[in-house]
Amino acid sequence: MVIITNKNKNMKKTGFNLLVFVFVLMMMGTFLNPSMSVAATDSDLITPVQMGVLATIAINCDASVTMNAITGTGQSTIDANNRALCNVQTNNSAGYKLEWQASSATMISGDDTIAAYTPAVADTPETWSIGATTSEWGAHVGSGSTTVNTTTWGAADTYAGGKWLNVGTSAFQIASRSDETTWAGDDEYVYFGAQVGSTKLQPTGTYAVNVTVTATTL
Amino acid sequence: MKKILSIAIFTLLAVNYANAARVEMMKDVPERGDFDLGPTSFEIEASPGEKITKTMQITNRKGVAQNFLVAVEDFQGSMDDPEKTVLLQGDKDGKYGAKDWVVPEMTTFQLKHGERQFFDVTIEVPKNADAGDHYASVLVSAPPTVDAENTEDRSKPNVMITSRVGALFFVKVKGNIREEGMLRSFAVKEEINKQAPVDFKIIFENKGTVRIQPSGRIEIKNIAGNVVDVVAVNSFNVLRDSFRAVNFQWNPGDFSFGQYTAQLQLARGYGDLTDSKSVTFWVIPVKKIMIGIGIFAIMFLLIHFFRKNIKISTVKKK
Repeated sequence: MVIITNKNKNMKKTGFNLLVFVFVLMMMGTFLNPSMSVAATDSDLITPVQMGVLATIAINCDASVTMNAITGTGQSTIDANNRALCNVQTNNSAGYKLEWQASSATMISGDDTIAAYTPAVADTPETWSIGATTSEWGAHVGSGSTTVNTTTWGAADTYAGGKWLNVGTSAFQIASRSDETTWAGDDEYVYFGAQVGSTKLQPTGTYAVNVTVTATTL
Repeated sequence: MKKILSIAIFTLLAVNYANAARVEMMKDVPERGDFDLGPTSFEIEASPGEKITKTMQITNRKGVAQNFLVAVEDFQGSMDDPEKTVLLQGDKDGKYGAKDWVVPEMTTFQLKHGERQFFDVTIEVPKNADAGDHYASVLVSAPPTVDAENTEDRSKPNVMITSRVGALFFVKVKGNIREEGMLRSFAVKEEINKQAPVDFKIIFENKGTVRIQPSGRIEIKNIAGNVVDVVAVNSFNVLRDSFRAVNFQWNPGDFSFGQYTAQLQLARGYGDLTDSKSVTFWVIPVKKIMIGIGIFAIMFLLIHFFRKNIKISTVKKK
């Protein structure tokens, strides 16, 4: 027969025991983490068999983006319509880098244009901001991209939370990695934004531009 | 004699035919929606006036037939931003360009899904070429079928995107070259790391006239000086007259806690010169510690409660 009784005594030394626990944890971090040792080597004669596997690189970007329209003035709403997905796959152990480049600095509709976004410091992405009398377009590397640097491009995919830059006619590096990708490849999102300033009369039209996204290894 | 000459001519033609552009249908090519290019780089050492031929391949994995365009551009490294490793120059001339020396065998072609196009690229080094590295890239693009800028249809897309990949040609012209480079910095992104991974950045400067490929290892040592892990630094290209930044990561083990030192040993890639630098950082997995303390506290309180309040005893039957 089992009998359970209440001895009703005070609890002591709880804080001390917690401190002992933290100390034990530190010791585990220092001494239980396995140290590495150099294995002894032998000099057996083995006929070397070698074969090279050379690097390949593959890319697939969405072929087009139809951005949300602007009625009169305001911003083109940032959502999935305003973005393109580029997938890059490489077996190159030193990774790859990705660049964007536009066919023209401006978006064009006949004789009318929307100017390129003008950052305060060239080639430095920044929070979206344009003057009331201008209309501009730019782009942003999405926060959900595999290799995105959110310090550079911001942690949100909005005009206020993301960081934006013009897409120039010279190549500009937007992403990179230092090792091979998985078979699924890296997904890199590029968001396109545009705004017509509150006192700007932008002629109607379909404004368009061609953008080239290039992946190379190094 | 005529027979020997005929065999020689036939052999020459056969070799030329074998190297000429050709298409092969590959087996079991997955439909990934993309196309791949290989090899992605060519290292060529040539004398002024020498002519060399290399073969590239493009495989269509788009699932549909696709037109391709081939172009050549110069590229160069950056002395301003070490993160920008290869800057394509478009129509402009690069600092040490070779685009005028590089001639692809074809500039357009079409492939069905699963087909692989092989084509030659000829590199002809001018007789008056400067010694040292010269760089060009052969770029293959899959252009979209609609030109966004030349449409008045409002339902048409605003942005047409061309996907492009490139093979890099590193052409080293023989002569009086200079190898000179050094490790500029080795840093850890966060001095106190609350979660994995720990990020390291290496910046290397090349001041010579040829590309350098440093490589090495990062030893991670705990506070007792024991090596707990090693991160391999695979060789990376640093172009002539440029900086290059490369990033590496270390994933601490489950029991990692406390102060660590990362020691970089980086062979410069020429001679027997090695650069060494170390950084100190902390690994404090706050989340794991809090969970551990929580579990410990609950266990302690339960044990304490049972020991102080509950008495378990057995009574033997008489």
